[in-house]
Amino acid sequence: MSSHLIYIFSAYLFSFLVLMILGLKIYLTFCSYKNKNNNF
Amino acid sequence: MSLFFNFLANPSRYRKFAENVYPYTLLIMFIMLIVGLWYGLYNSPPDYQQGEMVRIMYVHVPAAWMSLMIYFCMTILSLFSLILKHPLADLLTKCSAPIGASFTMIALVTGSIWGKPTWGTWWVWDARLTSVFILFLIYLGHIALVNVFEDEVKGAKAAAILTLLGAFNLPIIKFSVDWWNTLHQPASIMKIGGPSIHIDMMVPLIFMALAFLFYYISFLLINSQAEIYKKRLKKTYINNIEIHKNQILNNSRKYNE
Repeated sequence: MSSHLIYIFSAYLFSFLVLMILGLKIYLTFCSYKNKNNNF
Repeated sequence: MSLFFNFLANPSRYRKFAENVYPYTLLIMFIMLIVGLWYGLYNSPPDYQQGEMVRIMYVHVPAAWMSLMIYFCMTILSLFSLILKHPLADLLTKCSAPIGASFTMIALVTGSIWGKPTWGTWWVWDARLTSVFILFLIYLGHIALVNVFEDEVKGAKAAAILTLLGAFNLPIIKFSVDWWNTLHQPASIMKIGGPSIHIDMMVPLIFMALAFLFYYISFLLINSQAEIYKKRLKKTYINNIEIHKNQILNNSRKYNE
């Protein structure tokens, strides 16, 4: 049972880390270009 | 529909539309995600064969659906780009690829994590797993091809052709479990005769799939806005260089006279 929990935890952790990193990368790039556009 | 596409053909009009819509799609995504996680991790029963491991399916299956759906969207957009030369099509295809690649990677890794305790192995080179791995490589190829060309238009054209060529992989992925003897189980939801899974397991699956769908829509809208800003900056930068160049030329001419 506990070993199964590790598998489930790893799968969810991996998925959300990937989605979070990608989301943050896209959002920060968007904010950076938006600010540069406003300051130009 | 064509009116809507024509309306979105103007980049600044599209950017305003995206800017207004994305906060709502993000909000819907978070609501769907919370409900999906609550059902998937807490309010759904363990499977009679897989036990608690079935909970991995609530991430694995929607991620696999999204990887196929995003590639299908990219194929349609590539057709739009090559045939109709719609200005938005290249932009949306470029912005979809990293999201599609991420969902494919999630499907591969979570499937592998599920396979170890269930099948006894992390990976087998069976038809379904191999075809999804090829899809992942096509996504990476697309991302590389878009960025490798100095001329953006050429890069987008090459990537659109690659996407169309890679589309042959979609039916192979879908029907691989029927055409060949695979370790991967056949479809249990999208099949003739209706889904064969219990409603208690269907509900978290649907909510997680909706959360992933709204994740894609939200970050596609955000990413495409970033690309529009980037293009505009580049244009302004080149214009400024031209102005400065002309000023320097004029000054040197006056000096010589």
